[in-house]
Amino acid sequence: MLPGWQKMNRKYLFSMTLLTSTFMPAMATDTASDTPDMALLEYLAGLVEVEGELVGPMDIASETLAPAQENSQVAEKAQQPSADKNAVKSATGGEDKTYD
Amino acid sequence: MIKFILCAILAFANISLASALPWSELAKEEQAVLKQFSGQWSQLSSEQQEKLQLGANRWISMNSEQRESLVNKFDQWQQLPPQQQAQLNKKFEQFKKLPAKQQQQLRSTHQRFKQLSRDKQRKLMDKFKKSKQQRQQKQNRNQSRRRNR
Repeated sequence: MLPGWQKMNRKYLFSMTLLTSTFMPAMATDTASDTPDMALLEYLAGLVEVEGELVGPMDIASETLAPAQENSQVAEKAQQPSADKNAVKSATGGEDKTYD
Repeated sequence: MIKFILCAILAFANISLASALPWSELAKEEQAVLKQFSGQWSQLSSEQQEKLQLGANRWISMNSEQRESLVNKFDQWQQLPPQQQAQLNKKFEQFKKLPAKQQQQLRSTHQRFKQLSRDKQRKLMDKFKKSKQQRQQKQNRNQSRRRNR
C-alpha cells in the first residue's frame, strides 16, 4: 500500500511545487508592503516634508551620488561658473553647517 | 508629605494616560496598517504611538510607486554601516532645524547636484572642500592672533 503523496500524479505534484515556489515569495512581499514594520514606520515618521515631498537622510546624502548622466540639460546649466558657486553656497547655507 | 507625593504620582500617571492615544480612536485605515501593534499598543509610549500613527498616515497617503521607492531607500539605509548612519543622521538633524525656505533651497540644489555627471560632482565637492579648508585656516589664524593680543 503506497502512501498518499506517492499515489499522486507526478506531473501534478511538480506543477504544484513550481507554482507554489514561484508565487509564494511574491505574495509574501505584498503582505510585507501592506503592513510595514516598526522600523520602516519610524523611518517614515522621521522624514521631513519639503515642498510636499518627503525628504530623508538618504536624500541629502552626498554618498549616494547619482549615476553619470552626461549631456543632460541640467548638467550643462550647472556647468556654468555661476551655477557652481550657487550650488556650493546654497549647499552649505553660506556656512559650514550641513554638507561637507 | 507622603500624601502629596502620592497625589503627584497619581496626577502624573493620569496625565500620561490621558495623553496616550487609545487604539479605538485610530481610524480603520490606521488600524489596518498598525494591526501588528494592536496587542501592545497601550504599552507603547505616547511618543511612539504618535510616531507610528504619523508613519501609518504617510504610508496610507502613498501610492504603490512611492511605497516601493521608500522601501528601496529604507533598504539602502539599513545596509549602511552604523557609523555612516550616525553621520547622515547628524546631517539630517541639522537639515531639520533649518527654516523651510533654506530646506527647499538645499533640496533643489541637491537635486541639481544629483543630475550632474560623477566627474562634475567630484570636481564640485573638491572645490568646496578646498574653500572650506581655506576658510578654516583663516579662522584659525584670526583666533591665534586674538589670543596673542
